[in-house]
Amino acid sequence: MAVRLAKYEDWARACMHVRCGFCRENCCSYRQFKFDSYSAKGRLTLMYHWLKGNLRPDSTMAQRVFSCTSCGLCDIACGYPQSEAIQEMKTALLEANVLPPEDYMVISRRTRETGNPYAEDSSQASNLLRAISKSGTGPAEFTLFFGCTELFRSPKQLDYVTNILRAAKASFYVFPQNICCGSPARRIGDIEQARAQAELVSAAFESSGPRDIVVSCSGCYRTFTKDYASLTDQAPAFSTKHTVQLIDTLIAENRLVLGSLSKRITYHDPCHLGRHCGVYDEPRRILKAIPGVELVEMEWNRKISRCCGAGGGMKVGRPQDAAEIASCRVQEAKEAGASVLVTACPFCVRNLSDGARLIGSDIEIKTIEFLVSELVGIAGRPRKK
Amino acid sequence: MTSIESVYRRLVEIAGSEYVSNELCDRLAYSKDYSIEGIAKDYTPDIVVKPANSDEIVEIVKAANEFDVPLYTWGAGTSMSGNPLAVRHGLVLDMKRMNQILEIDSENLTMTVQAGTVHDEIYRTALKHNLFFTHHPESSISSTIGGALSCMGMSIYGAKYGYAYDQVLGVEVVLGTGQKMRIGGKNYLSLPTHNLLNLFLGAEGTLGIITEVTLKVYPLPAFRDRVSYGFADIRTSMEACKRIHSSGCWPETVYAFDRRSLVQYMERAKTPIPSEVRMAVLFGCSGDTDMVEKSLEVVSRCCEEYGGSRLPAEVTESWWKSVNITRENFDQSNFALSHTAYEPDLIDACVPFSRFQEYSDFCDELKREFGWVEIDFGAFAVAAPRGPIPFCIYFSVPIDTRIPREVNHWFEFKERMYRRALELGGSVSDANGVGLRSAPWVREELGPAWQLLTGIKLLVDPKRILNRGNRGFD
Ligand SMILES: Cc1cc2nc3c(=O)[nH]c(=O)nc-3n(C[C@H](O)[C@H](O)[C@H](O)COP(=O)(O)OP(=O)(O)OC[C@H]3O[C@@H](n4cnc5c(N)ncnc54)[C@H](O)[C@@H]3O)c2cc1C
Ligand code: SF4
Ligand code: SF4
Repeated sequence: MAVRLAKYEDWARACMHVRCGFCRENCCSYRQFKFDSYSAKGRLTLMYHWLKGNLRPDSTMAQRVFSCTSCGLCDIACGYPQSEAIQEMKTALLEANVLPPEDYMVISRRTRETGNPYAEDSSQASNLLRAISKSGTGPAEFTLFFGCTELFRSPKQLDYVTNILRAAKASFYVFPQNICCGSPARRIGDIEQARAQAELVSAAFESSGPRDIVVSCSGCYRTFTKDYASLTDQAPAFSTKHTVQLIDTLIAENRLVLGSLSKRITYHDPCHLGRHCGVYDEPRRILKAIPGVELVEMEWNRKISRCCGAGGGMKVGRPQDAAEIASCRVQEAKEAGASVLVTACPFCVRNLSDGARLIGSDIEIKTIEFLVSELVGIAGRPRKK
Repeated sequence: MTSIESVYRRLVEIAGSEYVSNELCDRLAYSKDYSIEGIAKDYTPDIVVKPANSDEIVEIVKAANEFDVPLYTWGAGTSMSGNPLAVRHGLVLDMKRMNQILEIDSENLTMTVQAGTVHDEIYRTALKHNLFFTHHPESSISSTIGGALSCMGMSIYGAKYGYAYDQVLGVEVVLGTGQKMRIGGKNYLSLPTHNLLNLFLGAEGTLGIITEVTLKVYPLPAFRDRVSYGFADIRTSMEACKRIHSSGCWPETVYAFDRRSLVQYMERAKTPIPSEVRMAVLFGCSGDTDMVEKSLEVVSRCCEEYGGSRLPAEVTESWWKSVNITRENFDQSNFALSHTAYEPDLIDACVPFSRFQEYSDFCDELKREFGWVEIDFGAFAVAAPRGPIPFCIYFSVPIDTRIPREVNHWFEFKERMYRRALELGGSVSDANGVGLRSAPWVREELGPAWQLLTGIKLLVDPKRILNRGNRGFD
């Protein structure tokens, strides 16, 4: 513990000094669980006392620490990227054999045992991937990598993405295997398994040769672009784009023509894509490129976008809480006057949809790829709706 | 069963188990505020309770009385004087669940909110109604209105609008007996007799728990702009401010920082400060564009008359953003980054205006004696209330609290600074709360009036349940 967390002692002490609480009101887990101990301020307090030897880690502490969704909003408020320190606390707790509630551990166990956090049949997913025909005639411009959530929980996302790319006459190749990128394990602190996944993915990419990867899951995107360097101790030998970046380029190059849609739409920034990786403009440009769409912003958007509540294992570990947090975000979208809530992560879509169900909201919730795929005409012709 | 166990059970009945905790993990988050007093001793409460409404508070206060367990009202715990700390352990009453905006009356320029509402929420809600809520501390995005009214409460707009408690028309309060009452109302003059409001404003939770507040709000100014000026010392900067006063110009923001403080505030933005500047003043005005432009022109002229040099626009903007912390720019806050090695505490004592420079020189000398040089925390002078002349000065003193001897030094330093203030004809001041920090000198300064104060305390809180052991009350 001492070694893993020593690096953060300064950050915890700064927090103990100033106690500003700037990280509190926006923190989704504080808003859900009520006590200050569920904000970054509280968790850093726990770290401080743990490092000082005043506090022995136990399951109560684990509950406070693991209910952080790793959304990173506290980092913006603080100046120190405290979500990173909290992430390390999770790992330190696991190493000290202080486990979070069992439902969180399911993520780690399933990934270890079955290769994916949903304990689904990876070979079936691989079949699904292999069934997608290669597009275009020339060499592939890039390789599509689909993650576990898309494959096992929203397989239609594969169609949405490939439809768009076929409409743009892009030549692509689909990575034919399901290997978890390691994000779910990483977010609950199981760094060992995250490392193992990162090595598997990196090795598979290396052997099959893709260099330019495109993903439509923000979790995969963040993990490839931000975590792989430290997980594999070297810069990844491949580059990664999110589909929103690709679609944005395709529109700019006039390779995609979008049909019109007369709707008021708001965009939820997935934490992994927005705050963590700085991708804010591309999805908004895509929405603005749709004739008839009125893009409205929620009060908390871009770098201060509120978390949907799914991250950090919350969706599996505390599903009811995750959905309740999501319902607040849905409420915000309604208040912005939107009839469609669009985002760029299959995981956010699932949780936001659960949140909407919880409060009986009729707002449409979809991935941006779903929305765009409905509006692209094959060969660039707008499809009539 | 101990009294803590008994009261815990009762609290669960009152507020529900979800809102009561006796877990150390939860209690530790409520064991320290932004003061060295808070790190010097263990002030961990036994129980934290987060009530939904004032009826629950009434019941909680009654339970605290019944089991003789002290109760400490806690807003956001951002206080800089140790005043929310559970000095004798017992209960912390976390007010932040009471965060509802109850009414906005645009026509009559009032807003009624629950006491645990965070400033930023009040400010934003007012904006949506084209209104301006003027109390805006640097801790706006986290601190509560109840906390601000209980301390003195400095606002970045205070030069025009005054302290937090100048914004209040009425409160609902629960006394230490559990009795609930309203004082004041929605009229701008709602006090038929003695100003009983003032008993509870600035009282730091020792006389009652504020549960609801009716606040003043103002028509929204259309435009806002600012300039900042550098000076050679405090004295000349103060002369310039007096001149601004006589010019008839009435800025809303007047913050004077010495060089060290300014450097500290630039920590995140890394904006360089011209080397000759020892003291700097930020002036802000709001209103129609022509009015603002004219005002800043007059401010500039007055500053230049006293040798002030205009600071680069980027210094002004970084400075403004570092004090005007809002939802849009909270990524500019410098607080955590500048507080890693040191924890600053404050000397919050007011001396006659003419002796600011002398007091500040004494502080510097003393800092040298204690070996605290070359550290970027210094003196602040703030214009409040109501006018361009900064009547309030306080000193930020950074301590490396990892070294126990340094913590002891802080207490010695503080003693000498407060003594000196009293010798200079000054007073303990309440710009940032009295709490544990300044209480030792209050009794002495008040003399026989201290008896009056304790008499009042006994009347409203006979069992001394509220914030027991804090602010000089035993
Ligand atoms: C980063 C930072 C910047 C700051 N900037 C400023 C600034 O610009 N101006 C300024 O004035 N202060 C500033 N402060 C100090 C602090 O934020 C203020 O004093 C603030 O008003 C305290 O509010 P709180 O909600 O945190 O109250 P707390 O710290 O929780 O409590 C303060 C006192 O009020 C009492 N109290 C709280 N709520 C109630 C209630 N409802 N009824 C009765 N008593 C109550 C408590 O018992 C305690 O005595 C700053 C602090 C920080 C950490
Ligand atoms: S913003 Fe940073 S320093 Fe402030 S309370 Fe949160 S974690 Fe602590
Ligand atoms: S990362 Fe998000 S959930 Fe975790 S402490 Fe920070 S703001 Fe809260």
